[in-house]
Amino acid sequence: MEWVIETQDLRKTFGKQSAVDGLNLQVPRGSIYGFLGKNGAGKTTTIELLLNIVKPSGGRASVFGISVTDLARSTEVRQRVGFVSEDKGLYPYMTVGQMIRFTSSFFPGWRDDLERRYLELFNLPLKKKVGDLSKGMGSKLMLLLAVARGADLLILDEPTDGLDPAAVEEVLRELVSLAASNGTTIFFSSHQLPEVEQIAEHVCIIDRGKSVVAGALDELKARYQRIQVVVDRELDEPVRWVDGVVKVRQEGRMLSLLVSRNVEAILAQIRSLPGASTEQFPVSLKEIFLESVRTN
Amino acid sequence: MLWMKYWMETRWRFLSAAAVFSFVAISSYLQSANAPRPNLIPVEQRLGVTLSTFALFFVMQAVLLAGSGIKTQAPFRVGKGLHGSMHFTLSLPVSRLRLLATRTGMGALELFMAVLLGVTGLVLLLPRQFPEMTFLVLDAVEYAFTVFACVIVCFCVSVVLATFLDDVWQMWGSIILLGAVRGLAGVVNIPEKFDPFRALGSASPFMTHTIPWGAVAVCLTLAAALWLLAARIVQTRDY
Amino acid sequence: MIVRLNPSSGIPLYLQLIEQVKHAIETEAIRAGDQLPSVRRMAEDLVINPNTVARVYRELERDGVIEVRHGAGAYVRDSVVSRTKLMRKAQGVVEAAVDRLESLDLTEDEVRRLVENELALRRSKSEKR
Repeated sequence: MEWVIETQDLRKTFGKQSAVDGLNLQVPRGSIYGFLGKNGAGKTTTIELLLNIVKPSGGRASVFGISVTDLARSTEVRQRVGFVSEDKGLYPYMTVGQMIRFTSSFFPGWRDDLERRYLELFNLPLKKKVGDLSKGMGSKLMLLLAVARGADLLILDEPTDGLDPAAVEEVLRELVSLAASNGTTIFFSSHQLPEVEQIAEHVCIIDRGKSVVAGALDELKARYQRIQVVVDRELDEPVRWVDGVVKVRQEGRMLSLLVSRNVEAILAQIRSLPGASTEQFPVSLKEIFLESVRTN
Repeated sequence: MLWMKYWMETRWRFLSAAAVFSFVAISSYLQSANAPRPNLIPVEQRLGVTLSTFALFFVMQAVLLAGSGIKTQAPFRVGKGLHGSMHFTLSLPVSRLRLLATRTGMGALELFMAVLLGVTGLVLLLPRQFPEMTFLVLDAVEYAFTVFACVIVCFCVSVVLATFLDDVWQMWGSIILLGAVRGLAGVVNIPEKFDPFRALGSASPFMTHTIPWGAVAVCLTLAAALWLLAARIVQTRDY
Repeated sequence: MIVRLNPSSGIPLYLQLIEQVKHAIETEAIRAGDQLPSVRRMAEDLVINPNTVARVYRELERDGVIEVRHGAGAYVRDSVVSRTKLMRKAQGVVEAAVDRLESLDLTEDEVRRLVENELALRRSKSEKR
């Protein structure tokens, strides 16, 4: 089986609202996959669909090659998945220690070494009730519970939410270490583009329930470019650009294009403009993100 | 460990209900000790009323113990962190059916203990209040069984409501629904052999010295059907 | 080896890292024969994707900068140090030449054509011989 996670035209509507609207995803094994999008773009719903917390309205999705609607094999899938939810909700009445014992009882492959390591690394107080933990501590505990179960796939919804920069770096390092030593596939959603750029091999930007950008990060950075054009005189009418132009900004005699592919054809088109001179620049993920999602 | 989780969530309800029972039993006993005698109303009728009243407490306990079903609940704080921890539970390699079975199993176990406690209290209290009647231990055991079998229906009604309602709403919904059923039963003619209300009150094993199998069968069947409905809902809904 | 990467730059991390490793070699921060950290170790130290590091090592090996010995790790090649220094020197020559050409008001295309023509000429000369 090629893809650890695969969705085909996945859809989910809540009443009249369409949260996921024809999503196509392919996550390769062993990848660190960053899932980006604005609030409300459909990230959390997608994750809920993958874990069978909500049922799809249409399309297909599979984890480890097993369809999410396959009820008989659904626990088999969850045996191999570690999950950190967006609101980091656990059982407030249990202590940290009880929470760990409770969770480990479901996983025969529980990694005591990872449990000990993370307890120490995150300084988690065993006797404290989960309900009394700060959000950051809750995130760390949830991460411990997700990782120590020895999962093949980690699905993390904003795992560094509420963590200070030092803790963020610790978490990222641990994720990198897991990917390097166990070949764990890590699928995580985040608002923090720098984090994603740092460790992700693949990314997908979701907007209004659909994937608008997807691929290997290196390849995207090589493909996407900014082209600054200066023309002799202001253009009377807007140019009908060929395929590959994501966004155009015009200010007087200067045009700024974000281009995702087809550069040669676009440059040719630019040369047809009066007295055009061009300069090309590489772009950061932030620019790709901002120009690819719809702004209200 | 699932059993432990649900025990942690429901133990205070169970203990508080036990405390209520004890209080009611004791106060009722003390009250009856001062009642004027002799009483003109036939003893069986009075006993029937007492038992019916007591049965209400069992019903309340059943509704309380169903709680909010498999949705995680903090013992005291209602509404805090409910949504999030449900996702954690659902991400565990446990089927929703097993979650429901364990949760309702725990609740049913607690209900059974509460019934035993309550009936034990009754057995200690009743002879004082109704000295004209003889109360056999066997009758008490049969009564406990009858109560449990009949009240489990109320528990299952609550379990069904709990699949889509939260704690407090579920309890209100259950009370209203069960109250409506009780009212309806007063108007409609239920055949004697299958009437659970009579089985718990005026035709209890204390009077008849047998288990009212007809009523028990009706209740258990209903309970099973309701539980299956709850299972279906739990398996198909979104969380 | 102290590495400074900028994940937000438009330049892919692997290219940045390749450049920095080469730079470290020519400034003699790492010397010929030195062992580079394992892929996993490097990824953890820099907190970047291990596949990025793996790619960097592959490219460096392909460029003849490092040598990956099976099961023993990656080592800096002896020959590479002087080569890298040489390349840096050559870079300086090119920079100066282009500067001068541009000061003669030649466009980028013209400069490029001149260089290509010159190389083509030399190639054909050496072929004729």
